Amino acid sequence: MTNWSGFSPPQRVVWLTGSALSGAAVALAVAMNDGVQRTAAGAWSGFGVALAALESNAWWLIPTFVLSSVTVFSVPRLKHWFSASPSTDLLLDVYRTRSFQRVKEDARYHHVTLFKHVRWNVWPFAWDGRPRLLGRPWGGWLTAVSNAGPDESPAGRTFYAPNDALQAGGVPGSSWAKRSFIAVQNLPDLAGELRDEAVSAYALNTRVPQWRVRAERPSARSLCAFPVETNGVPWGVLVFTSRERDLDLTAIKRFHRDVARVLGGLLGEA
Amino acid sequence: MDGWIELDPEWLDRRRELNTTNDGVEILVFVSPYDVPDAVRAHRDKAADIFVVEFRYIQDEPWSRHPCNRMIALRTGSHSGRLLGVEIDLRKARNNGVVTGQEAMRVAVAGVDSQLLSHRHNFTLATQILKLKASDLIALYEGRPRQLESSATSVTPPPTHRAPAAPARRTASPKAPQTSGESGPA
Repeated sequence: MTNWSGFSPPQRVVWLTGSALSGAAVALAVAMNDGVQRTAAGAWSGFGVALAALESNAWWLIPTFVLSSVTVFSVPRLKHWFSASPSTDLLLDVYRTRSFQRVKEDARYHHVTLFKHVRWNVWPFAWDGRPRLLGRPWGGWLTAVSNAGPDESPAGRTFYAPNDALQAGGVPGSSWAKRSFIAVQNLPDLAGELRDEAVSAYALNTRVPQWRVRAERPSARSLCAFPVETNGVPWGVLVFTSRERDLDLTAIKRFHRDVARVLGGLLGEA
Repeated sequence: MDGWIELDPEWLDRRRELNTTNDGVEILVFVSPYDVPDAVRAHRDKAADIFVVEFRYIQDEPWSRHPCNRMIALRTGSHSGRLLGVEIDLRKARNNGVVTGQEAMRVAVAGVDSQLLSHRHNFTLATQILKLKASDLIALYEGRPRQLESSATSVTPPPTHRAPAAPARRTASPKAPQTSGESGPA
């Protein structure tokens, strides 16, 4: 017996629709059984005719019902894989405002990005350059679901994030694997002429391949990442990047302590 | 029930590692903010005949109870594994010659220390707090009024009268001790 008290109204519609489609597929498959058809035809000839019509169309009806029910069940979940709720986006904006209060650089260079940890990677290549089929697609990945800050979309930002810190990609992956707050500061400035030593240092300290650093030329000179949880369950990683040489880590931690419950509640609903 | 002794998470969450590379890049590693307790409290549960030290974090979670040795049981988060409380069985403690609060705290610290490998950073912090707040916890263990002390962590005086309704963040906390069963409420 389903306990509906734990479901929101949209979830109830999804479950009812999905269940109805699944039920229709099963009922159709059962009705195609010869014995059932003969019994129904004997009891009521009109029903037998209807069953015969269904049988002749079963080759496309059953797959359609099955696919429809799978779609209805999975689409709402897929949506949450790739985007956070509007409330979470709003909260990230507040994180950004409070965390970069003292900075002097142009505000467009400061970002707060929320990564969700998922078991499977759905993008062909991770942002840290690890090909999906050479890494483990099922090993655990961090995929960006929300970004606070202009001029930059988080779409496609993905890091390999297994539980083994040595295998993890990028600072977010390391933070996830170690369950620690990690900050990398005073990174080389890649805005001017691109020197090999600067690229090498940037790639080494952020655990990103050099070719990716050359291609992207990240503007961030400091970043920090830490895991976020909902009721003790690790959910993902929050990443702060800035053009400044260092971050106000105390302000970031202090604000996170104030709103961790709110963030956890929002992520728990997703 | 209140009686939380407030801690200073910023002081507890000091830099754990600092590496400066040849290129001048600084890599700093801290404990996760979720692993740093922001308050501790202790009380006697007369029904169960136990003394409980509880830790409060920025988020709540259900806990389960794990016997550590003959006298000590640990309450750990069901999902995170972090330390939410330490129970001292008073009857067994008395039978083993642990009478004073100081001895009880020593036994509690040894119990947490013996489990360090399971969740190292959080358990290390918990041990530090047990030592830092030893005088308060000993006073509570021995049934004496707690005295204010000046230390690196801030201390909130205990309420002298019935406390008003506390904010949700303070009341939602590591759960009240159970008299039976092996796991905490969700």
